[in-house]
Amino acid sequence: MTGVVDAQGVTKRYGEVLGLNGFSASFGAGITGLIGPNGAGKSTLFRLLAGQLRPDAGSLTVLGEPSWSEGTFRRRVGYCPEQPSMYDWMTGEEFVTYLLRVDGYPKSEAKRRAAEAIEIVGLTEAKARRVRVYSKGMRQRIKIAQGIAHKPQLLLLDEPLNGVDPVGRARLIALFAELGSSGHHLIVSSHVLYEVERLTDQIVMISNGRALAQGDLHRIRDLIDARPHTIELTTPDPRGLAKLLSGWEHVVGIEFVGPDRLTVRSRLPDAFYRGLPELVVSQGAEITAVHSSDDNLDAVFRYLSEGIG
Amino acid sequence: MNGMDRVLPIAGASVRASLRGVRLIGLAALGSIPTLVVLAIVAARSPASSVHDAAQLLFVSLTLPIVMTLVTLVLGVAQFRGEIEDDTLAYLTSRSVPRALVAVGKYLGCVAAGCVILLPTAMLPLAVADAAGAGPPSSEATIAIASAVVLGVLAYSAIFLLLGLLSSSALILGLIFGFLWEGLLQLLSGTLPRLTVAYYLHSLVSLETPGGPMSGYTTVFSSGEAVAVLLGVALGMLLMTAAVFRYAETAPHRSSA
Repeated sequence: MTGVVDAQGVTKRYGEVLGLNGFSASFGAGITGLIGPNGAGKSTLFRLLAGQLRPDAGSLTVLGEPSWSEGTFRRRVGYCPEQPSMYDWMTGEEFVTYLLRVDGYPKSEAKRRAAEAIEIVGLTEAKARRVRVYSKGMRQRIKIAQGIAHKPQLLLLDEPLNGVDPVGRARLIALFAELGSSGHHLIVSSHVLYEVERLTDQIVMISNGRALAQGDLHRIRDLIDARPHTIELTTPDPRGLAKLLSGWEHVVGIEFVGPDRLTVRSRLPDAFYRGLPELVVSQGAEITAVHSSDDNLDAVFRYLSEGIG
Repeated sequence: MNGMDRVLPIAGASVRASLRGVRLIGLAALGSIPTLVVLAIVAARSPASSVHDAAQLLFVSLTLPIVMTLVTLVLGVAQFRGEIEDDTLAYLTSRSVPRALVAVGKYLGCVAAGCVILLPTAMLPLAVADAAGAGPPSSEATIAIASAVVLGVLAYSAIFLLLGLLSSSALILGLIFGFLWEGLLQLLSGTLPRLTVAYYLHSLVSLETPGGPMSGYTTVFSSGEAVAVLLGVALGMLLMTAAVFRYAETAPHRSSA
């Protein structure tokens, strides 16, 4: 195989638990979505690709190099981990500059590249603030900035849209599309198909540590669209937001699940996600976080798993 | 581009990460104990010579065996273990920097942070004694104390850095090493005390301040040999840390993937 990333029978165990179980897939050029519910093995695969973990069995190559190797080839890879923790005591600019300096760039060059990357992710005004005061969306963006600052060929984005507000999501998706069109290869993981679908039709589906399907996005979509999709929204004004959403034809249910949260069931999740930024911008709705439940995909993955098994 | 260009930013970040917030307050409070004890002795209107002797005795009985152990334990373990647990180590290990340089950078940062806390911890009681009329310590005593602090930080930091990399229970293991191993073996006769870092630190201080309150520790080594052993421990542990880190999986242990 000659993909950007090639996996052949990759297995990774955490004691008794299998993180990956004979995972085989080839990730080609451009943007590829890695779709699977939590616990499917997405983060394990990313950690293997980023050189944090070593495969127990099988072969895994990144840009033609074994994933478990250090050295200059790592400059060709950018990694944005899923976890929210960062060096919170640094400013955004210090964070990106620091990692560039660790990568071997001289101070002035590191500062220049950091400023450029921070500009790309739209955080220039906030770059002098400490990371600890950043919102979720800003944290995601500064993580992306450190991932792209050294201009890698391959960018690994582990759940980059998790918990980001609608406007932030739209901006990040546009940014990923731009990176993809400017020659970067991106592997973007998510448990929300609709997010990834807006970026690419190259999909690798993973469940229980195995690749279930590659490509064939339309079949998956048909399966998912047949079921109402549940989305949890966080807002300081749940009643006001519910009033706005109740006017949407495809919204089939709204439930208040907390003082600042409500869940919405939509028959057309794609239209729902497309409409959210508009709701915020033109109707002034305040939405601080969007979370799509794994339940939506679980049934589909079960169906696919049974088909394979 | 040489290795130090990569090591120094890591060391600098380690110093900043080590000396901030609650940890800094805690370490500073711990480090102030010997000075507070000397102040209490001064307040009790003890004779100047007693204050002088007490300040030096506190170094060998409190600062070296307890304060230094705790400070270097907290700092050393935090370098790797803290970043493994909160998963920030991924930012370094996914970069092109060789892992050995990461280990060296973190070690240097840990040593610098340890010296920032422990040199004042060791020197302030002497300054207080001087201000109380006991006169300045001899240059031999000053040099011996400063050397013991730096060499102790070098050796203990390397040990605790490795522990932090190897074990999620590094703090407990470090306490066992620092107080049971180092403390108990000191009490035994024969050659067993030589298996502790403290033995060489006490030897150095004792040999370099003959006739003073810190002398009198029985040792079979010369100062040069004590220094060589301490540097050897530091270097050996650092090399081992670099080798372990080179092959270590650094993601926090998780049952779900």
